[in-house]
Amino acid sequence: MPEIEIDPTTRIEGHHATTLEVEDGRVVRAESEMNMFRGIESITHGRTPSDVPQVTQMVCGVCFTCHRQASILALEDAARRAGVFDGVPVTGRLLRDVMEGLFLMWNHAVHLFVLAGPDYSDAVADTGFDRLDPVEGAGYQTALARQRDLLQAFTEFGGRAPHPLTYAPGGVTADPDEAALTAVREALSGVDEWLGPTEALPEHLERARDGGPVPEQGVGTYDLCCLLLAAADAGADGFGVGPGRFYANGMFYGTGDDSLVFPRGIYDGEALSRPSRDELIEGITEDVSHAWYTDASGGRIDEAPAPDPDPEKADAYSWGKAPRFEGETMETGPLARQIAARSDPFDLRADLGNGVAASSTFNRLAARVQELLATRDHLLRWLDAVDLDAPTKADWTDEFTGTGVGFWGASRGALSHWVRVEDGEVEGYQIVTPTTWNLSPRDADGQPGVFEEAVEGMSVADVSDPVDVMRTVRSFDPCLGCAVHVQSPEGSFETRVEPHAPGGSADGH
Amino acid sequence: MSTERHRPVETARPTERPDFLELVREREAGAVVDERADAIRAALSTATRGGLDVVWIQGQSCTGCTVSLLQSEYPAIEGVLSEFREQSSFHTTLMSETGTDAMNAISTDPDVLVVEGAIPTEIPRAATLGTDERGKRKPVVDWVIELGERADVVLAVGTCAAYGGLPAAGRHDSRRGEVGTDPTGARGLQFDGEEPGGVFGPDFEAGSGLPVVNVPGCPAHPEHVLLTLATILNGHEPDLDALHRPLPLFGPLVHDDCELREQYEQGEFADDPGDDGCLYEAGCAGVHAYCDDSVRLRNGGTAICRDVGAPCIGCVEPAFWDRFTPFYEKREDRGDAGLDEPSIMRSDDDAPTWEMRAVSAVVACLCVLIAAPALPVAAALSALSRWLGDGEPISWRDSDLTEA
Repeated sequence: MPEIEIDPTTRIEGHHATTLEVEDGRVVRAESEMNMFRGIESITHGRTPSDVPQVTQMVCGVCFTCHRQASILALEDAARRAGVFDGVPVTGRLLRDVMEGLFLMWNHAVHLFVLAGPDYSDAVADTGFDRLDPVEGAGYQTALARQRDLLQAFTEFGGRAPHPLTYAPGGVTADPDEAALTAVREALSGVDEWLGPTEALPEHLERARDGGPVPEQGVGTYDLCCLLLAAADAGADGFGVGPGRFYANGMFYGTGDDSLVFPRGIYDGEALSRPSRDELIEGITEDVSHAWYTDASGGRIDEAPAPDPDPEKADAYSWGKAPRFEGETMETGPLARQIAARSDPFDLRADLGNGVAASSTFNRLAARVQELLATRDHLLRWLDAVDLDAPTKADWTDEFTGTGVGFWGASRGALSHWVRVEDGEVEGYQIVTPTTWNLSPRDADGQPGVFEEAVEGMSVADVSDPVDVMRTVRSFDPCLGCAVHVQSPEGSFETRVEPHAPGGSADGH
Repeated sequence: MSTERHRPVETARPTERPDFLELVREREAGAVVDERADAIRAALSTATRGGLDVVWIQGQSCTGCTVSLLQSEYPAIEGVLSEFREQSSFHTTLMSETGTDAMNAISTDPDVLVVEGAIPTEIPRAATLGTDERGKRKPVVDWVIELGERADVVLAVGTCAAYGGLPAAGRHDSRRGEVGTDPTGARGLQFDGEEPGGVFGPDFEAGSGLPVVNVPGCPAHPEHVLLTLATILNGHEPDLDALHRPLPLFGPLVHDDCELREQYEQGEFADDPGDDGCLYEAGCAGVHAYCDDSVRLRNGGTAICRDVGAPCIGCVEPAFWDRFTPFYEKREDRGDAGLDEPSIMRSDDDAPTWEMRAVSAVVACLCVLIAAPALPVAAALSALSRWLGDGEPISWRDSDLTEA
């Protein structure tokens, strides 16, 4: 039985390894391994609450805003319940939304154009679509320039990227002036022009079907349409199918009341529900039967101690725990958010994919495209709503006792931080990341993680070149820094990139 | 090293190639990268054309330092930077190959080893990469020791690789006034927090005779990484401080050139982050943190933490997670309040960079006065250049490069 091991799973970055067993041209077993542990939850212990978002931010250098945001939301939730905090001023909340929105766009742009996109390019897969050829492709190069614009816009409010220090419990420390706002708008205008109006997507799709020519406006969206067509041609709507259950925390408060712009939801394969905060707290558990932690490290999140390493544990094969909702695996990410919002702009998933609420490698790509454009449209409205004269931060005290949970969306899916504060010191902390939801190991019942399930059963025509497996793992945009590591904003590729082939293309790379 | 990878490099002799870190002393922050982009590109080309072999590996890292480097705003360097990252073959983030190919691409005998992230020494399994000859997961600590002992230069990128950083931060029990051990025994390459030691021990010297060169920061500043790397690739030995940081970049004090310095002089202090005024009373560690980012700024010169009301957290300093916390506490209530504050004077009076230069100038004058007229001018220049930190060229084992 040939056994393929893909390690490191490059271009998604970091210490992640996938082991596949292939029999008769099919994957019969996949093991998703995370190969790094730092113990950041323990490192928060005994610290002052307002220091903790700083510590937990460094979980990940790619998701460098989301962990700070989720950590702050957890603290604010705890302080509100303890009766020492009334809420974040509207402008502070809006500025966080703007930064999170810029970050989301940045992440999706990098993922689609630089990381996942090249898998469907001519140079890699003979698709005839050469604009996303790594390094040389015109679409690839434009995307590199635009992703920098997005982070420069971010830095106007954030101070630096990665690892901005501006989010704080109570709001943001930034107090932007008209000049900063103008600079953000200017940086965004190039991005806006690159993507063009969202409603032009069907025209771009039509043009992409006809093989061009490349339009003058909205060239980024045109490239994305080409990418989706190439992915559909590659049959990506037929592989990488997860359990069909989806979970989204929701994100963005926007200019309205407390309801989220991208709503929270759980789809069980048949019906969509809107779980309350308490239902999520009750329902989410982590299984550690195949993870290098003591058995006591599993169970209900709010009751478990910080992860306690057990590196010699038998049957364990990952540093990632296995999060479950009511005992079941849940796929998370932009696709889950789109499904939770009952949204399928331009029927991309209905027409080109395998159904509005279905799981597949194609649908994950399509949902990222849909979310990128939707976020851009919201962001421009939020910027217009920023009141420069209003306060950006409420008073905050670290002196309280209480517990709280911050539910938020990272670009790659549902993220939650859980905190217990006693007499002004952090006594308990847990982080449940989207990448552990998607790339978890098996649980005690033998239920494979979402990615493992999505890959098991896939046909592998050429064991030396499991390209569809690579496409599938990348479609989750795994941020192993969240669990272990992160994907990079720019890939670095050979001019002539061979299909990703362990054992093949040994041509002196 | 195969001979193929080490074909001759068509560049000037090492001593004629620019020492970018020395140029930094003469120019404003940011100017060197702008003005010398072509020369930096040429320096990186020594690696991409196979003259020098660079390996970049990640331990317990968040990859923020890589992301930071990729945010560099240098169109003139972009192409070669891309290629460079590709060829620093161990850098899993950026490789186009997967699996076996990627592992085969790892040089076991690099000229330059770059490490990002801390190294877990008590739980080696807490960071592994690939497998060993028996098919078992190979700990990064083993990779680092193997490769580091064969490398001519070892470069630690970011505070984690340099001093242990976040993974090495302690678990606190502040009620008992104690800081406990970190969860995995995480260390920097040649430091354990402020203490010399780390993975390699205090006496370690790489093949060139240099200790581990540290470019700290959380994340490291992309220009700091680029300038140090390009200087090393050009064969120059950087002038280091006691914490093994290149002095021209890490000599200035954050506080000295801070935009809020005037408020400090006027005694206008903010109570909390985000309030108007100097952030000194709101816990700013800028009086203990040495680096030039108050003028260099971040993300293509856009801004820096203090610009958005956030106090410096001292991220370029060893053990900053434990020394400067609580980050936003009034300084008199915090442990570092008793530390020396070296920069109540004006920056020009006390920054090590300037001090070094003053000493250099005096020594140079003495040399000239004492030297016999027959003394070759070249010798004086050489002494001067040594004092200025210009350094001996690194004697790469690859003679093609040094003699080209």
